[in-house]
Amino acid sequence: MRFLAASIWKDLRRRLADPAAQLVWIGLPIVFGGLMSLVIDDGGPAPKAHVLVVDEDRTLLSGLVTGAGRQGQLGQFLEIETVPALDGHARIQAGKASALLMIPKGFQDGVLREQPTELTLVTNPAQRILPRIIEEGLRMAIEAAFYLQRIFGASIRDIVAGGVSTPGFPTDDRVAGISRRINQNLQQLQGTLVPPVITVETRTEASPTANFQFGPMFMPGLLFMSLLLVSQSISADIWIEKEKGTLRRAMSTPQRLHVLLAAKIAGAAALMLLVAIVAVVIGVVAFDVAPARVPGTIAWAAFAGTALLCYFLFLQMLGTSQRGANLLTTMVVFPMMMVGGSFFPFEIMPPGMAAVGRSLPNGMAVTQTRALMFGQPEPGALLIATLVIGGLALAAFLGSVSRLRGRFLIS
Amino acid sequence: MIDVQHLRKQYGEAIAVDDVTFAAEPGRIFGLLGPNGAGKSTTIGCISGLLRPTSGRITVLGHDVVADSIEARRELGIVPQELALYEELGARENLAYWGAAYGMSGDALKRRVLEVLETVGLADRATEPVKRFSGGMKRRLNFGCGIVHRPKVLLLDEPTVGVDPQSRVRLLDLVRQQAGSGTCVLYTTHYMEEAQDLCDRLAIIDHGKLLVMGTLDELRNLMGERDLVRLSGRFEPQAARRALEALGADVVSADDGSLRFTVEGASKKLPAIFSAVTSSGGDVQETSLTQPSLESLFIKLTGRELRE
Repeated sequence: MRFLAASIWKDLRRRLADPAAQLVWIGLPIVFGGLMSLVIDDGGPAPKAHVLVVDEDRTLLSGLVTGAGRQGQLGQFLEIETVPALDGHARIQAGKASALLMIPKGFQDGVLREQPTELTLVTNPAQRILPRIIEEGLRMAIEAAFYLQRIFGASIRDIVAGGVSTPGFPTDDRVAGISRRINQNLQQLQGTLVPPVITVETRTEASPTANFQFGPMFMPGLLFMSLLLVSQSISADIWIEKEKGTLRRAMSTPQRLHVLLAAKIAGAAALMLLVAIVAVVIGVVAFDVAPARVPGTIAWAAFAGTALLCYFLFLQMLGTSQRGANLLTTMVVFPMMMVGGSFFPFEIMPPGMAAVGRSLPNGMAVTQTRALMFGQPEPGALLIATLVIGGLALAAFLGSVSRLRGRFLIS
Repeated sequence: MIDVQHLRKQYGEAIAVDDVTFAAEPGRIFGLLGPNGAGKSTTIGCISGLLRPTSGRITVLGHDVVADSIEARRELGIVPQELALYEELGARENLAYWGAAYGMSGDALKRRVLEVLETVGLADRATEPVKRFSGGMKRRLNFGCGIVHRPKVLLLDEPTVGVDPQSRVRLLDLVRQQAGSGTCVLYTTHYMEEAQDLCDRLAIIDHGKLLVMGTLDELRNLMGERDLVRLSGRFEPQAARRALEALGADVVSADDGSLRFTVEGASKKLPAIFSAVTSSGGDVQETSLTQPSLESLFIKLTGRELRE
């Protein structure tokens, strides 16, 4: 026990002799989390596409096209500005807008008479995403206009013709005639539309962005990103001790090999505990984690982090050189982080990938941490995760002892 | 004491130590002398329990290092060739950690740490991180870590490698102190002078085999009054060898550029030697003559310089 305490103290002192290096383990996930929150957070103003419209037609239909861009959801993405042709060309050339839409003279006539009509969209090559949104939006609008024209073209032509020939409101007879025609069209379509062949079930689901909560989604994954980085880094210490001769010296003391290794792991566990405390305190301050959940979360994170260390220690000891061992652990740690919910939450992963990630030890740990921090932990699931994570750690520990007893020292 | 009987250590086909037998006594310094790669560190590794002997038996104070390894290791102190220290920690912390590894604790450990700090002359630098120490200071601390638990048997594996002359003198004094207090010391080195100055008994090891063993006087006697002569120049090796043997010389090595041989009363025979070598078609450009020593014995035994 005294040797265990001395080992823990020794390794903690060694680590804390270089606090900047330790801050990286916590700092990197914080920076990563910060970047993710910037990408995902909907609190700030959404970027808008600035669209210049040169309307040379100045008709009802061209007005509808321009107006449609200002309505509804499109209005959230588009900022429509009607400009003279020269000004429009000059500004898009200067890269001062996302796109320039040219509505030519005769656009309305062409549409109503079912003659080929051309809209010109000039996009800003310096921008990638916003011009694509405009292009797609315009394509959909044209498709909608085509079907409207096919169904209600005669009525629209009548309205347009009346509006042009007789100023002021149309007469009651004309309105009645147009209404009757529209009604007849709808009755003809009834066989197809009512009852509709395609039924659309409308369900109100929580929108991912509307209900999105950064803490529960990312916090556990980021905590385990820290712990994975700590594990990988600390596990490499076995090679440092080997190179410096302290491992050889320790092995010539009367301490048994498994005690030596356990003491080393205990020193690392103390560091895991520190990282877990810092991370959970951040969770309390930034994401309203309930204080009652703190001890359980810290204990779980320290346990799972120590288990991860055992895995990486074993991988390190499988290596035949320090460089090879570091390469091996690096090849493991990044896929583990990526699939195990540290880079991206399981919810936004493809289902297959999420299933694999959740079954990894760190994925299990992330899932349980989320439940412990923000949700309702299920005792059964927690027990299974504990047994799997702990069992694998025990196997890795025994493997490491065996390696230490075998050829590790002379490899 | 340390008792090594027919020790053999093999890695695949390579034999690192081959049938080595020796014993080291309490209060005495036993030297294992040999060039790099001779098998000294492997022997130390087997004694300390780090390496499992392929065959043979080793006991430390009666404890078999394989069957009763924990008890054997409890009696051992090791000063490895490497600076096996935690450089981020201070000297006191290093000593305290290694003391704890041998089961020491509390006030006894604290007192002993202070004592060792005084012994190795680092009491005034006790809390400073080791990484700021000079090479000599680190070597002394490395030694201190090996004796903090008052071992009855001390293994020193080339502890003066890369040490400045002053620190070397101090380290050798520390080794003598340990032997003086009754500790059995096994000292490996490839420095002849160190071995001659320090060791009560010596064994010369090369290519894993123990070539010769005894006190310094016993080993010198093996050389008799024969001096070691080295000639450099241009030679006809076979002819030169025949000419020298005719003068009673024992030729150790002969090639186109150098001749090495032992001969009794070399200084008086030098004119005859030059004449014989010249007559055999040689041209002597440089001559050196060494009185009987461990070095000349090593060359006689192995045909090689110790540092080759």
